Amino acid sequence: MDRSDFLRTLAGAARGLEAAMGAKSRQWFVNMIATGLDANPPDGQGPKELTADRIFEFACYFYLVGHLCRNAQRWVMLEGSGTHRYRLPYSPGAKTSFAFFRYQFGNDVLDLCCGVEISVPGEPAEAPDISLQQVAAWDATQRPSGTLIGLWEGKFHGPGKTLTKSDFNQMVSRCDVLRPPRCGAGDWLERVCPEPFRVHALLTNVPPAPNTTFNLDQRLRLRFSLVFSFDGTAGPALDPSRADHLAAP
Amino acid sequence: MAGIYAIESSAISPEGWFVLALPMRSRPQSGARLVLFERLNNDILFVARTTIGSAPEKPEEGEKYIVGSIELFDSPRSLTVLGGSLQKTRRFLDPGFHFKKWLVALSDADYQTIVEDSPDVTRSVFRLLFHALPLVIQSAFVREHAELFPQQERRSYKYDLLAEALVAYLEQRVGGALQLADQLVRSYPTDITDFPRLADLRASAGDGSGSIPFGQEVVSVADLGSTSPLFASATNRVALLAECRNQLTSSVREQDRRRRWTDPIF
Repeated sequence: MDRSDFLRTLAGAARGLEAAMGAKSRQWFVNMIATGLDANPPDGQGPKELTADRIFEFACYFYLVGHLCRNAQRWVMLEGSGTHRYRLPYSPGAKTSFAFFRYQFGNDVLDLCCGVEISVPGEPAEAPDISLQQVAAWDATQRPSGTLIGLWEGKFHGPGKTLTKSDFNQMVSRCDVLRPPRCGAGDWLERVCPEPFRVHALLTNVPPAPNTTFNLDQRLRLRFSLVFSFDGTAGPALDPSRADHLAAP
Repeated sequence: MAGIYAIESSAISPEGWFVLALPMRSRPQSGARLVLFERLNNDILFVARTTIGSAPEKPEEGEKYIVGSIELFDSPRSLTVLGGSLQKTRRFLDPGFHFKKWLVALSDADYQTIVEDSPDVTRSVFRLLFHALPLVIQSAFVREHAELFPQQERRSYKYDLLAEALVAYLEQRVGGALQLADQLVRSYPTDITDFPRLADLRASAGDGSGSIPFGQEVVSVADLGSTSPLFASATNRVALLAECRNQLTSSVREQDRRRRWTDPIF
């Protein structure tokens, strides 16, 4: 490109960028860039901000929401409480306060929730990024905490970064406390979920790092897999596979 | 010092003189160099140069300044192109701000830049992109790249290194955030009857202490990624940031060592 044309185009693009970044309502986006795409304080710590991690979780959630809506006999979105009822939490929240989707498959009813707390007897509540819960009956007004049947965590990392041991250990801890059910032939995850959601999983946008390994025995024992390079489309493989989980003692 | 000035062409009479309306800070003297400029479509074009042949001994209102012969440039020099290369410029996204008056003092370096039509690509790239960012991101960039900034006032900038670092920062940090927004928009179901609109989705803190019109914002952010020429995520064009790299590479090879920049950071 000719240098004058380049500088003229760059000046116009810079003014466009300034206008786009300047909107007050976009402060969350500006903060996300300034603090870094990898800055994700653990639940309950750090400033309450909408992080890149949470947006990635939303992307994973809606991918699964769409698939279930297309395949369920019927579905409904249960609104959250308060003024803005179609809302999801960007830090852990109560199922009674936030929107989620309810599905009917035959006589069974499933709730797909994002970031809501699940109570554990004798333990502090845990709030997995995405949970699939079985509830007793189709009732578009009741919001009971259901039986956990699917559990997924999303971890976003910026360019050049990889899934960390800390990400892995958080999933280990979550599965250790919540004890999601083990894979079984014809279970709910196999019947209603798309790949790569047919096993409880830790999904990330980045590829596996050549020099980092994660404990396979732990993943099989705690019933979860890793999914690398998930970009919101079907395809990435579960590690270990569903077959590996089925074969595990 | 006779001085150097940019003067709006229309201020010079057909007979070749202009007058100052006092009080005025500028006091051109005989021999002062002048660059003539015109305003056109939100740009300022430098079209010619001349000198002041004679100036009043004691400037009084209405006294004539006679200009010498006018030498037209081979082609007009655009302020949009040269703005990032002028010492005078502080408002890099609006360099015309510094030329609101019809007579504007210039430094010798700025005069040479205009006459030779020689932009400093490294400073232009850095300053245009840096000043397009909100202060929060500017501060984060400075903090993360402190070693590239002069540690003392009046030390010169290494704009080649700064521009390269900023382009990489924008590609990775801003580009990465835009791609993420795009991923969410693509994941959102749009083929299901009666499915709520993404634009209606809000994000709230778990305790209800804050709420963001997240859905409508993420759509417009993703739109920025696909429409801004800086990023090429959803277009087939080469991203302008990639072109910045090309221009920086060739410009560093032929770098003009005469100019020394001691700008304030912000």
